Amino acid sequence: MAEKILELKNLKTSFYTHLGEVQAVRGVSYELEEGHILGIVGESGSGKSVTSLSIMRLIDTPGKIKEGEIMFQGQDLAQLSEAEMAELRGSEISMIFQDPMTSLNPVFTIENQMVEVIRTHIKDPDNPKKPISKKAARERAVKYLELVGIPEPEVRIGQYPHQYSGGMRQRALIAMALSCEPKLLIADEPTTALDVTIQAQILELLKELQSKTGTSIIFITHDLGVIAELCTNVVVMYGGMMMEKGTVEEIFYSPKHPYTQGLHKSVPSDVVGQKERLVPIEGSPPDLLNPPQGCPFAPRCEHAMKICLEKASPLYKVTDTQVSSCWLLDEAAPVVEGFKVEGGAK
Amino acid sequence: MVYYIKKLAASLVTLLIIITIVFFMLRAIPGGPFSREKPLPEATRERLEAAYGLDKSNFEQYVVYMQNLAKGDLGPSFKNPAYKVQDLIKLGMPQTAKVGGIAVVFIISFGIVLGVISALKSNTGVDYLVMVIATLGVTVPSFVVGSLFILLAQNVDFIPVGGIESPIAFVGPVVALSGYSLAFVSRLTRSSMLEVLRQDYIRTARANGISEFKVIFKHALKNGLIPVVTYIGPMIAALLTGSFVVERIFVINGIGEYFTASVQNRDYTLTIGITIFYASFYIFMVFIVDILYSFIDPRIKVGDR
Amino acid sequence: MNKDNFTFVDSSEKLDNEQIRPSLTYWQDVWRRLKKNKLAIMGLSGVVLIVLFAVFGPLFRPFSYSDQDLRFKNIPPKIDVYQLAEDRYVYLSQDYHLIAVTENGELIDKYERIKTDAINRVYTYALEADGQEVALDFGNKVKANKGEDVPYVFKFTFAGSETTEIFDKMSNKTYVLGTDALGRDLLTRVMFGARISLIVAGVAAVINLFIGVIYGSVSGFFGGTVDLIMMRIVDIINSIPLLLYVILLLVVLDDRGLGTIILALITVYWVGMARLVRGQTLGIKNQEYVLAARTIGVSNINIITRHIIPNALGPIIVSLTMMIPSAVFTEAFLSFIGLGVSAPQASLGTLASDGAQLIRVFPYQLIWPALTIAWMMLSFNFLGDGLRDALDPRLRKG
Repeated sequence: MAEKILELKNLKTSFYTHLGEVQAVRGVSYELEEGHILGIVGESGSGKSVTSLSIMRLIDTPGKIKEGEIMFQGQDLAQLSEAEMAELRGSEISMIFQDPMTSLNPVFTIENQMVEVIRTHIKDPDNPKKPISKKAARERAVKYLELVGIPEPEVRIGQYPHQYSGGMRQRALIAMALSCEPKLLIADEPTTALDVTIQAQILELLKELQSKTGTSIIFITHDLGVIAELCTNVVVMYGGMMMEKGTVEEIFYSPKHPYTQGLHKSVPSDVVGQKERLVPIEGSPPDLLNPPQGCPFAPRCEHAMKICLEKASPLYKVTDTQVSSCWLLDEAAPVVEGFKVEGGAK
Repeated sequence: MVYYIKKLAASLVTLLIIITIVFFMLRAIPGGPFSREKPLPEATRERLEAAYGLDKSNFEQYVVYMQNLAKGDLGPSFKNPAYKVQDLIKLGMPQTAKVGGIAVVFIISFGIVLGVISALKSNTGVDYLVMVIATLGVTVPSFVVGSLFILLAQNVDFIPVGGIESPIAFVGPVVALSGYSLAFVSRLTRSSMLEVLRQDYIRTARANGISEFKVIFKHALKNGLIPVVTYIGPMIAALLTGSFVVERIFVINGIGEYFTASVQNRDYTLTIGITIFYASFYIFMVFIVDILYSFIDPRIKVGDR
Repeated sequence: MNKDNFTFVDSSEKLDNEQIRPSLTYWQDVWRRLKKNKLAIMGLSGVVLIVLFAVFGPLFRPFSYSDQDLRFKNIPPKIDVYQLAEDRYVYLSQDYHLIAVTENGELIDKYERIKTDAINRVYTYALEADGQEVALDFGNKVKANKGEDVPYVFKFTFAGSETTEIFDKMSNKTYVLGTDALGRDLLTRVMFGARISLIVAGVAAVINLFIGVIYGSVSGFFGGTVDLIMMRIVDIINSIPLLLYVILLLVVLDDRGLGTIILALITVYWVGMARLVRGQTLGIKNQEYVLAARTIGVSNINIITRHIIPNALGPIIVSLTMMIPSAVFTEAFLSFIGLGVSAPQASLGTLASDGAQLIRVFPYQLIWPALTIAWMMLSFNFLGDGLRDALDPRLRKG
């Protein structure tokens, strides 16, 4: 069993707006093992991005981490000061975001921006009190640009963001994020804003980098196909809570949550020539200003029971690696096709 | 390079058009130097003749006028033909420049600082205070501020009431002159910074561990100042025209005062001459600002790949 | 756990949780947001008040703006009254005119100065009506000006008795805000001044609105060469401060009526609105509903008037609200340098200009017009700011 690099325990994050408290994350717990790629899948509003921003402590007022622990390398990130977090960001944990077109500062060159990050975290090997020299930092930056596949990095590093295409910008951002060799990279829908072909390239790149550098990755997306491509483990989120968690095989071949099953049914399979019906999930996501007491998915669930509307389900253990938050897995529940399970409640 | 030349050419063409329009306006004034209504005193007539070629054809007059302009000769003052307009401008320049110069420095430094502070502490007491003061600055006209200051000066001994002899004397004129622009610059800086701080690239910088100080004063500020720099050109103009009022109230003999007096005395050539001077200066300032702007924002030099 | 809880529920029970918020029209939404903004409401009230003041105010005044009473020149709103006898009260002006007043502060008449004794510093006055003499000893005032301590400043002698104490500092009941150098009621003048300022600003702003909207929407809609030329013209006009054009024009035209000033203001100030509307048009004309309209064959004019302009209305309104204080200011500025309406008509700017000349002795003559200008500008500005915030679609989440 590989070592756990990140462990979330009952994380709760809310935004205190003038309309009230918007509970974006309502008690999420999961772990990430070293060297693995964890996929987090969910709709908009499921809380998947806010969870990651909470890990990075990039939640701005009126948001706040209400409760919970974020254990990383033996420290609880939720308790660290801003200065301590700034040291970790970029050097131990990095994050890349959805829209590469606007994520780079337009008035500085790529060199300027990358060297700045490198010199913030990497010290001079001869004199650990000073940052690495500009020359050495630039060399390092060029190396990483090459690693991510930017052609002629020596030349292109001196250019401005508006001279890069969208795909190239995302590559540059990945290079910047990895330039200080973080243990953990969080990628929040990095390919959603890109063309499908570029998307494939970036995913390829991430797989390659992961095997070369051994960085653990959290990959957030709403696209199940990408999860299947890239990830080793999956967390399924809905309405601010985790619905199900497991290895990618378990989630795809034996999902034990109605939401996960619904997701599979609403996406076309890529078997050519097979005629099938796409079944959308009826209804809309819950209002996080006034979240329901019970399971957040209950109003849209075809197997909803009385207890589902009253209380949120605990996590039931399905296998050693798979858990699901669904009352159907309780011993007392009626038997439904596809929800048979060996063990009892976790 | 091409970019700069194009800008320069555009400025010159604009200036030419303005001067031409002004020239024809000058000729249209009833009772002006070109009207045949009143016979002019002989001395005046001679000088105007020399300067404008009154009896020649329109086109020739225009040529003469432009030639003179190229030499920096704006013609004689209508009321006091012994004086040339350009000499009067030179006479009034130092006073106006001193007050204006200090005002510019004051506005740029204070305005930007206040705007940044306001943006960083947005929606707190500090922010509201700065914004209220800024709104007052924008809505209370300079002559009101100036007059109130004179009132103060009358009741306080060590503040002189008028003139710019001593350093303290500058306070009144500078404050009255800068009021509007200072307020505008703070508001502009504030809203621009707030806009910039919401941008994705700021989030990237923070996510990569850049210190908050650098995030604000390097990453945000450079972007945030772009609209402010663009405003500085027109701001100089506001200061120039603002000087009319301030120089009158504080009894300062600068170009602004000469202008106001020329309007009231119907000294047409002086009025027009100073107007051309202002227009040229303004166009020049806008040109400088455009150049400055291209250094800050690398995206606009399109021809330069 | 109760086995009962594990029974299936049908869809009606599930839907309880659905939140349906009432939907509002765009303008209802705007008004709702505007109402919440305290400054904006203050601005709105301010605007309403000043308009009422300007329109209806003069009805309540017994004077017109040009009525002169040369007996009562430069009397301030607050006067120091001396009681000389049972029913004889006087006010001494800054320039040593003696005014007969009632005990409530109403002005009755002016005393003639019949004797001047410069050596002993005594002036003697008498009222035309009854000829009784009042002597004023101002010797101590001269000493006090030099900084000496004196037991009293002025000594009045009337019918044998002396008065040195001020009876009361009271409000001038006849002229609530005082009078100007020609004995005209300042309050009435300020009301008329506000009227003129508002008329000039309002008419100029509305005409600029029309010109700007038409110019901008045509330019933006037709695009191409038309747009290029039209915007070049705007750029050239904009290349020097608009104020200079106005000043030049007024110097050339030389006539100082209301019409000329409005004319001067509409020659160039429409360019701001034109630019704005053009920008909006460029954005809107690419929207799909415009494309749909064109596909059906709606004529260009109708597209502009019925689709483009209504959708650009937000920024247009904000711009209009800001053009008014701008015009008020410009007009005041022009008046201040002598290019405003001609006497006896006066805009707030003219009043301020006149008042500024006397600021060292009679500051109230500047303060009231200036405060009125400031009131106008603040109100419109707050309202405009509030409208801008209320109309910003980005805030629509609330």
